[in-house]
Amino acid sequence: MKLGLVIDLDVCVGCHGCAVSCKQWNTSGTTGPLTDMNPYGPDPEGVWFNRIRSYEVGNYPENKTVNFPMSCMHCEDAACVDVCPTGASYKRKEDGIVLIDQEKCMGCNYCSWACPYGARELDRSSGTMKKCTLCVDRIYDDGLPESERLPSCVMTCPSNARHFGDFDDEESNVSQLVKERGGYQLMPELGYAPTNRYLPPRTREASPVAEKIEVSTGLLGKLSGWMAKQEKES
Amino acid sequence: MHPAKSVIFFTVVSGLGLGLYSVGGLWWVAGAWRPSNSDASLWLIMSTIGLVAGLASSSFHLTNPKNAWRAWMRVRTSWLSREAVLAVIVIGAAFLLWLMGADNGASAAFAGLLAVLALLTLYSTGMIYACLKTIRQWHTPLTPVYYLLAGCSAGALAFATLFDQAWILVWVLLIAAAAVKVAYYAMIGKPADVDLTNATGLGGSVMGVKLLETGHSGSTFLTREFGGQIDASKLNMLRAMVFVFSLLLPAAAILMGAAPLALLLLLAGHSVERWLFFSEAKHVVRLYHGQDT
Repeated sequence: MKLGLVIDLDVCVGCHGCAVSCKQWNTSGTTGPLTDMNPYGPDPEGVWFNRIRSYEVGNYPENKTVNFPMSCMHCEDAACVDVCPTGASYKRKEDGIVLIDQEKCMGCNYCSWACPYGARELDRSSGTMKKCTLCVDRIYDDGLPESERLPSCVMTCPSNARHFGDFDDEESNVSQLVKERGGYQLMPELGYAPTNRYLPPRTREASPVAEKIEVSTGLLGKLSGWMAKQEKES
Repeated sequence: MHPAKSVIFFTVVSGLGLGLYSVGGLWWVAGAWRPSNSDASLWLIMSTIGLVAGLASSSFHLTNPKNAWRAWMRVRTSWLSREAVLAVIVIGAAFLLWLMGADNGASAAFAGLLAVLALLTLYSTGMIYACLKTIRQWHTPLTPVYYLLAGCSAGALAFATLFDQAWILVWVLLIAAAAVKVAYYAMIGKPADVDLTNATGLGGSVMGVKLLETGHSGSTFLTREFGGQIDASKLNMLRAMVFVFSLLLPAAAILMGAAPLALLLLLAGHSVERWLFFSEAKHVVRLYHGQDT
């Protein structure tokens, strides 16, 4: 199995719901807590497994806001695992999930340097590195109804921009989405073969900002122009 | 990259210790140095102090040092692990050589072996940084070459100061290290070949992608570790300091006969160089925050 996420950049509305739900689930999960430092002070900061940035693509009026969630890509050739000197970082053979054994991590930060996606964050209170677990403590939990054996972010997403599945299975929802929509990897040139895929925003006509009213000469033309104007204003 | 003081001290001082092992061992096996028992002991003890002080300092950079012993577990894939294992082997070999003493017939050959191990350790330190494809300012063969030259130039100067030997090597290494640094600064001055448009895969080459918001109101681990930026107006002055302190002033001090002062100046130069090595390194994740690499 090769488990991972597909993120649909066309429909993500940038609500940060995935990140908040991730934080809520995982703070009591296998690599929790996701500590917040100074949470009620002037400069709060904390550990997040998922962060959403927003970009503007193109120039007005052909511009578009693209909200861009990023978390661990569960790379097939994970540099973070190779550089880890302690063996705390590992990639599971059975499903490809990259995890950090909190009992072994010495907090050297080296893996975070190797990751191009900013997926790893040091928890200064535990002194250990933390990252997305693909909710390994949800997706195999027989105690949950089958429909809920999904990563927390995928469960929560209100615009259905996040999909979870097995990329080794050509018939899976994620493989089909990638095929239909041209799902792509981030920075594939680095050679880490990230598992997660992004579905590009669909191209549409530029949003209309002002409609031109055709005014032609002649009595009939003036009349139809006047009628179009009334219609527009009403 | 955030320039952690403990890592700067570690690489500079352990570089000095490893360079001192290397130069002494090579000079001995080449037959250019025939140390007495006490000279050999002094050489081994001074080298070991440098290496151990550096290693101890490196543990201050760990946020969970109780697991530091595990750093020896992944020599098959991790340069950090290789460096940690080699450093311990070097200390063990130095102890064995100290037990053997200088009069033993095999001592010279063993000193040569110690030098090779120390050079491999220095190379591993450089490769810790050079193997990272995410940081273009580090991902170059010039990185391990400079680590070797910087460590060995400090080691040679310390060796020459202690035993009044190998001055020719001091000059060659000081000049070679400065030359490699010139080439390095020219190399990292080239523009990066990735930008936000390729990093996000959005828009192709014509559209252009701009950051609207980073999604966080305060600082994060990523902004602390990777977000730093040197004040451009001070960059040239700092780079000039690297050459002044790691070549010109030590050379002047050597010529005036103040070798210990030359060594202190050189270590100051290496500290500035190392601070810049970190501060000028721009991780590729910065692109997603609208910064350059």
